[in-house]
This record gives sequence, C-alpha cells and structure tokens, in this order.
Amino acid sequence: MVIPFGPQHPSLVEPIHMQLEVEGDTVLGVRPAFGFVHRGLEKLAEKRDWRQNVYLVERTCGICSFIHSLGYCLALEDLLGVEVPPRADLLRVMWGELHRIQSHYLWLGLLADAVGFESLFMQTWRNRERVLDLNELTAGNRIVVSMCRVGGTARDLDAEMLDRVEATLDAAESEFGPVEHTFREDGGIARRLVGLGRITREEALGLGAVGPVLRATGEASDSRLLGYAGYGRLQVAPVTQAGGDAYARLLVRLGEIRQSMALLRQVLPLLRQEPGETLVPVRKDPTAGEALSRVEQPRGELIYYVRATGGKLLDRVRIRTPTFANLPALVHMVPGNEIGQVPALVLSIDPCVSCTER
Amino acid sequence: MMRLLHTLLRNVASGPVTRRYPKVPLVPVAGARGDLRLLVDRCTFCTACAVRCPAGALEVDRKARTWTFNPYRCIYCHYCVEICPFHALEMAPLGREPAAAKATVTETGAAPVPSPSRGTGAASPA
Amino acid sequence: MVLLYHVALGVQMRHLGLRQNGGVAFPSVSGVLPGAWLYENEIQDQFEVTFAGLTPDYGGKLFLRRDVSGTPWGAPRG
Repeated sequence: MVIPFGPQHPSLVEPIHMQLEVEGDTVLGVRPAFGFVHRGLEKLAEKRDWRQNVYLVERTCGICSFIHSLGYCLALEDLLGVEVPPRADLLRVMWGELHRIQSHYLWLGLLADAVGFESLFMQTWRNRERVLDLNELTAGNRIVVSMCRVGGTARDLDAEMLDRVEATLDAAESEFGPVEHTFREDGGIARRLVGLGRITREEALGLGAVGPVLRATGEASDSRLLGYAGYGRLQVAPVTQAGGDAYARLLVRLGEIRQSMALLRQVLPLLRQEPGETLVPVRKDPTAGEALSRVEQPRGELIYYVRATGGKLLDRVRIRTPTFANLPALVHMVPGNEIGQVPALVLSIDPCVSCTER
Repeated sequence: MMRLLHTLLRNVASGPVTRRYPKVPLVPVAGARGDLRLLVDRCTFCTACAVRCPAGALEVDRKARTWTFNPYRCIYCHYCVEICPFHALEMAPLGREPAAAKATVTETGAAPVPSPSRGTGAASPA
Repeated sequence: MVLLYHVALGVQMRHLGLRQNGGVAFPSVSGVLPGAWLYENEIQDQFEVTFAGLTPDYGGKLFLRRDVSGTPWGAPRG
C-alpha cells in the first residue's frame, strides 16, 4: 500500500513529497518527488548581474540566508581576486554565528512541536526572537540581513552596538540554560528520538551526508575548519556524537548553539580591538574563470560554484545545499520505521526544502 | 514541583512576550530597512536605481522627470539607497501601512531650471 | 558539455571534469558513491542528458511534473 507523506503535512514547514510503501505499519520503501518550491534561482542568477545576485542568493533560504550570501561573495571574491579587509571577516563570522544560533533554535522548536511538546516550542522561539531583534538592530532586518557584499560587509558596528551585542549574548546564554536542560533531560523526547534513523559513519560518508547528520555519526567534519572569513583566527572544534540517530543529532545541535555563543565571545573582543574598513570597492567585472566556495551552514556544508566568461552576467551559478546532500541519507533512513515515526525522522535531518529546490 | 510553581508564578506576574501589534504600534528600530522614500529635490533622474534594482521595482523616466516605485515588488534589499550618487533615497525604519489595494508611488521632479545662456546673446527660454 | 565532479572528504576536495563533445550519455557513479543518485537525477531533470547505470533512475521526473516534456535548460551548451 502506498501512503503519501506530504506535500502538506502538519510537521512539515515546507512541502516535500514522499510516497511511502507500507506493509501494515512499517515503511518498506520510499519514492520521493520534489520541486514544490522550485523558484529557478540558478537560472535567474544568470540573468542578473553579479552584484544583484547577492540579493538573489540570500533569498534562497529564509533561515540561513546570510550564509548563502557569504558563500556567493567568497566565490566571487575568489574569481575577482579581491582581498577582504580583516574587520569584514570578523563581522561576517559574527552574523554567520548569529544565524546559526537562530537556525538551530528554529529547528529545536520545530522538533519540540513535532514530538508534541508545544510549550517548549514556544519557549525556544521566544528565545530565538532575542537573536532576531539583535539582527534587526545591527543589520536592519531580522533574517535576510543583506550585510554581505562582494568585498566585505555593508555596515560596520561601533562600540555601543558591540556592547549591545554582548549584552544580548549574555541574556541569550542564560535563557538557553533551561531550554537546553529540558531537551537533554526530558524522557519523552529521548523515548521518541533514541534509535530513530540510525546510520553508521561509513553509510553517512558514502551517501554524502554533511553537517550535524554526519557529525552525529562521529565524523569530525566541519567546513569552518577550512578557515574562510574570520574562522581561521578562531578555535573551532566540531561538535560530534557517536550515536548516529536522531537523538545524537539533537545533542549535536544543542552543542553547536553553545559553540556559536563561544565563537561570538571570541569574535567580539577582536572587533573591539581592531578597527579598520569593512568594504573594499570592486569596480571591474570578473574575467573568464570559475571559482568554488565551501561554507558551513547550520545544516551542513554549502558549496557555491560560479563560472564567468567575462562581463556583468555570470555563466553558471550552482548552489549545492546541505539538505540536498542529506536527502539520500534521509531516503536511506526511512525504510524500516513505522509511519508514525516518519515526521520526526524527516525533521531530524533539519530539512530546508527551499534550499534543496532553490 | 517547586520549580513548576515558580515558573507558573513568574509567567503570571510577567506580561506577554508577544508584541501586541496592531493594538500597540510597532517600535521602529533605527537603521531597519522599511518603506522606500525619495527625496525628490535631490533626485536628478539618472536611472541608476532603476537599472540596479534586483526586483525591478523602480521605473525612472529621465525626460518626464518621474520616479515610480512599486512597493509590492520591493525586496527591501537597500541596494538603491546605497548606489544613489545623490543620496536621494532613504528607507524609513518601518514598513508601509497595510493597504486595501496595490498602488505604485510616483514622484515628479520640478522642471529643470534653465542655465543662463552664454556666448551669443540670443534670448534664453524663460 | 563538461560535467564537474567535486568530491570532498573533510577539508580536502578534488575536482574532476568529464567532457563529452556533443554527447549526452554519461556513465553514472551511483555504483561507487551511493548518494550520487540525487545529483544525477537532478541533472537529468534540468539538462537533456542521461546517465547509464543510474539507480534509482526517475527518468527525469524527480523534480519535474510527470506531464512536463523538455527540460528547463534544454540541451547542454558547448
């Protein structure tokens, strides 16, 4: 018997369609069908000039949008041979980590909602609002901050603004304590997630999984170790777990929120101590060539491939998003589980379907 | 049990965390990107903003000296404000008010002041 | 058409290019890298190319609707 999961489902934020072949209560096979939020961004990016594309690619995803623009700007800067000022690198790290915190908070809330713990969902999203208000204060908008430009960042932050960032960080850290405690200690969440969708490290590597899905199997792989933007100056230790199941992925993401807060604490003193410019003017168009950038999104490794043949328009922009890379792992994980567990399983890889289908 | 009681009392004593919009107006945050406005006295209708807008929300007619903005296409990216050579565009910190129907915003510039004629002494247009 | 493969493990990445002049049939790597089926199916949906040996093969209907003919990017350029 074939039961459709999606495209509309109470646990899904974005439409994804999977036809589940079930026998009784157990799923035997999955036939996926995507494309419900396809907006043709890669083709649109060929029709806008390379400066306008920054605004286009940051709207690929409505959760991790800054990191999309960061990946694109890094690829373009590679193509143009532009050296970004160090202060802009640090500001990019700051906004990137703030995005990571609010993205993981969003996922934690959705997970709590999916397992039925609605009050925890509301607490988590209330905490998330603090980070979004900080985005609005420093950058002008809550999520799609539009702060990354080819050549640096659009704005600088003065000492007073940095004080407010630090005060918000203090408050966010103290508020995270009870939420983290509940996620770790709650028996209901543990019973739903332990053992769900277990994959081994070898399977995850063969299927091309990235991000917390891979790190939950014990592989210490994080694109921030590449040292792009300001990460080369900071201590980044990938947060790993050994379980390989949905509970391990939860623990990885909880640990990554703490890690992001620690990284922000490393970046803020550097921003105070090292003044400088934040944007280098770029006046020439890219010459023929290609460039590839790898950045760490909250969901995993994001790759931007850009090819230019000279002139204002780019020849090809290819975005390989982490949820796209995690989908084969998801399709591998689903068979063998009960139908009632499928929503929590799909949610455990943190699917961002807008990213997948661009 | 005690922690539950403590949480309950704390929640009862503190107010709601959600904003009470629209009963309570939104507090604008300085620097936020909201509704786009033209300072028409500074505008020279050079069309730079219309060319650069990624969403195609601006139309500028250089001859007729009109600037037309479609707020329903705007993506609030702030690119036009940044590249205007005359700093004639600004974004208010709050978005536009809800409206019953879509409408574009058009600003018309004053007729250009003719520069004094030079050289020949021929009569200049008034 | 050039098909680019970027294979990464940790911080290392290798880039490979497979060029076929005028051809549209490529061999599939899904036997070697099981997760490649999604990438190759997407390319089949977007460009008019086929991958021999692709499992599972959705025949260009993973992202496109079943009643759609043709592909968004059409035939590969160059």
